[in-house]
Amino acid sequence: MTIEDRIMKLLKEKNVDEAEIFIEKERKKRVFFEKNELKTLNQDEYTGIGLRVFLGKKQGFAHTNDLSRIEELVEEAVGLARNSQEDPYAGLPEPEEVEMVEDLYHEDVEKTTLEDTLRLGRYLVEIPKKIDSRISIDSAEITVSSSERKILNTKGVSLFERKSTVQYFVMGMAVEGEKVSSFDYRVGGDVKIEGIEDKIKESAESFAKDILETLGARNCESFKGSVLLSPDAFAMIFAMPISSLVNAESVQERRSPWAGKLGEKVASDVVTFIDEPKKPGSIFSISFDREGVPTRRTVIIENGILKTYIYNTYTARKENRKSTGHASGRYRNMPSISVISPSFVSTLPLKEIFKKIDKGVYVRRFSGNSNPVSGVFSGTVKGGRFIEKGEKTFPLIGTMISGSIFESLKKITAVSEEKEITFFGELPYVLVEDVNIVSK
Amino acid sequence: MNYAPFQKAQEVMSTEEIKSMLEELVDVVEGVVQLRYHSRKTRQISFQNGRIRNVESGRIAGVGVRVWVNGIWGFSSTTDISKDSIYKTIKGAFNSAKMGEGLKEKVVDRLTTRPKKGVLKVKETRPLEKISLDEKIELVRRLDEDPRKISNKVVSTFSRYTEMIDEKVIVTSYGTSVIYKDSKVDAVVYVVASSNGEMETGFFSVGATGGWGELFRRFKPEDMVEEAVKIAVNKLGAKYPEGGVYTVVLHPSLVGVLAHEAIGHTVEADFVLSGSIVKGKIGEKVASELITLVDSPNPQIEEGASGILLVDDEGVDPMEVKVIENGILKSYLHDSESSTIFGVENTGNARAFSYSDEPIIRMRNTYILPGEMDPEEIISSTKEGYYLKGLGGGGQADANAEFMFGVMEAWKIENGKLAYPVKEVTISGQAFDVLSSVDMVGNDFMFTLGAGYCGKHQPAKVDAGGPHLRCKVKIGGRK
Repeated sequence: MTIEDRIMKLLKEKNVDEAEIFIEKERKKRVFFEKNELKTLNQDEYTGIGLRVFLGKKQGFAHTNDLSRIEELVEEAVGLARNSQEDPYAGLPEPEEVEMVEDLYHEDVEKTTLEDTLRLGRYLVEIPKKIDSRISIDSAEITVSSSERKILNTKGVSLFERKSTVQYFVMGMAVEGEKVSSFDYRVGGDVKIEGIEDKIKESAESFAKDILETLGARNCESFKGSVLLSPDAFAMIFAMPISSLVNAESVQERRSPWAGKLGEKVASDVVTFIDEPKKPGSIFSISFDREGVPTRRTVIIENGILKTYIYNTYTARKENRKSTGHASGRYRNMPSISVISPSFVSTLPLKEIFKKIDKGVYVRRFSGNSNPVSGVFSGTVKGGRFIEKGEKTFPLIGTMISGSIFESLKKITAVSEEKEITFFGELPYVLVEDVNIVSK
Repeated sequence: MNYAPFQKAQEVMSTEEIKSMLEELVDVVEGVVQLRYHSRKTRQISFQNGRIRNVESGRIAGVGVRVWVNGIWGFSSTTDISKDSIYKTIKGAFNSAKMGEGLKEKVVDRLTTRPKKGVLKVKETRPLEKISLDEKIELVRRLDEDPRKISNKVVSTFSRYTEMIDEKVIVTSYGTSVIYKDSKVDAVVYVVASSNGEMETGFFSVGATGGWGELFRRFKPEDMVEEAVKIAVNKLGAKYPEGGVYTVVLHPSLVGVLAHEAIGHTVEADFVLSGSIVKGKIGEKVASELITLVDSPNPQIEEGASGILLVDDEGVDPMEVKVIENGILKSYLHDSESSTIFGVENTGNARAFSYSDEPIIRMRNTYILPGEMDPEEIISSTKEGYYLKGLGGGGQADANAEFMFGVMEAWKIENGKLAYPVKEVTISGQAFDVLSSVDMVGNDFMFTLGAGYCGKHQPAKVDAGGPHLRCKVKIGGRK
């Protein structure tokens, strides 16, 4: 008998009204570098189970990675539900037809050995070091993994998806005598091994170039002007807060100032924000969400107009509508809500965007806050460059930018064709006007 | 209470039996071997706007195996707590490490250790396992409901309670043999207040190692609610600060953030080796002589700190480190490898979040020692400046110690008095410059970072704090 069958049988004996079983499996090989050198070779695998049960309108959730003790898992989840409180909207989704995303699983990833992974890792670390000896790699890693997600519920949802990923990360700084640059990093990845070396090369070279250029940074004058955000800075200041603003839970719980703003202009015309979870061959894609609801392409902001919020089953039931397939999370927690694969429609190539900037600041990283409730963003520019007459000039230090997310969204004037993988999806460079720049 | 089998369940093997098994296995391969059994029971409850949001629990267990051969670590883990499976995992980790043979340029020939032995247990007043689920749910319900009773400007509320009960057995080939029971707990209140179309947030949290006695040692649930509401409501209609460099009085909450985030990370030996700003600066003056900064595994200055660590995850007996003493940089934070590289004692800062995480250099409880001044006197002797309290977000470290923090609560100081609240204040600067500018240090003390997690490849429970102190920082403002 499979684990899920055993759990279902135990649940029947406990007279549970509804239940959901989520099983996650992962096998990975990971190579980790520290202080410019190989540190650890790691091989691992795990299986985790998250179980949600309903006794009437009361729900409980428990998780474990110990497959030998399924009885306890069931007992725990049922016990928590019994001691919980009723919620009229609690419940599970009905099964729906799911169109599976193509090209998410490659056997070559599964077959990649730890030796192969080590070779790729060394390639990643050696490129920047070869470019310039002033580059110091604080840490770098490459992880090759294959994973499975399985979701079943008592209403008949029964889904399974396999995915393979190769992900890498490199972080470091440039050191020249007493001078230390700001640190920077690159992340990247793919669902297959084929072609990964080219991606690694591109990321490592761009990383090296950027940190070298930021050695010997100084201040500029304070002014109000153009700010060009890197994909990573754009994620921090705008993309992540926007995703929280359109989260139906934030809206319903009165934590989102975008409540009641559907159909209204929230950004400039050039901003079109789409969740694209169905793109074949993308590391960010998934076919169904954490509750087994099919994911779908969702236009969230179109030419600056707010089109929809994003829902899981719980928040959808509160508004008597259907989930948009945005239930998220792993086996260790109950489903929450998040954007899956944020995508922004581009308007110009990056070099054309530079030409638009007479005087401004390029922000490689943003270290600060961007508060989706008050709308205020404020923080330090890291790895920044002063831009004059369309060209990057000297590197910046001690420079802060601040403003209102809501006002600045309306002052976005360009979105680049070039995109980079960040921790928050594959995102563009974005130009924003009239930002306060304080440097002293 | 048959509903809590995770809490009550008799383990298949006792920790004593697991210890004996690991001791039998620790010598099956050549090289240094670290075996770490780690079981974690978690529970989380949250409410929002008067309704329960989730009641969750979990149990995760496994054995992390780390083998050191010719300077390279092989690491693997297993969830099958049997002799056979652990044996295979050790062999696998050994083979992985061998694969890296000859690839490292600077190899040290030994690790510096100080193995711990015995049965260790953190102090727990009102132990978590003795408090019923009902009582925990009731606590979280009150934290969510009570803010509205204080102010009708509160439009949204959220509260969350989290606990982690850990059991570890650590056995190493260099002599560690430890059974370790630990518990970490935290609670948070989050509110949104609104008036005239303006929305502001307030947040207050507590965290501790131990039980409810430690968790609520300073702030009771009603204090948490009051603080969170006050923070949000005070910001409504408040002015924005004017940007510039100011004399500021920092509350212990921001002193803790500065100590941990801006200074602490730069002195982690792995970061030092890759070239952080303090590289080669041991013995140099890096701060005002009023500053002594400590990273302690079990601070006596205040009980219950969240980062208490009785044995580190390499099985080393952790020691208190004076990072900065009277302004002079004295020590970095080390694990078994970095201490050999630097030729110093191992400070016992190697920590892993779960059985499948590798131990890396992390802080424990990082704080600045109190001085002599009454905090009120510090404010009253400040003609113009700001009084800053609480981390409002952000707070990232950088290799060059350049920092930027959002401030949760801020007041303008005029003629030695708190004149009016201001909002959306951020502070930034170079942490060592800021510590060099310190001219007054309070005689008070508080740990304040207990509810948070520090992130560096993996989470870690840490704490940080200090007294009030006065210094100069750059304030970012709208103007």
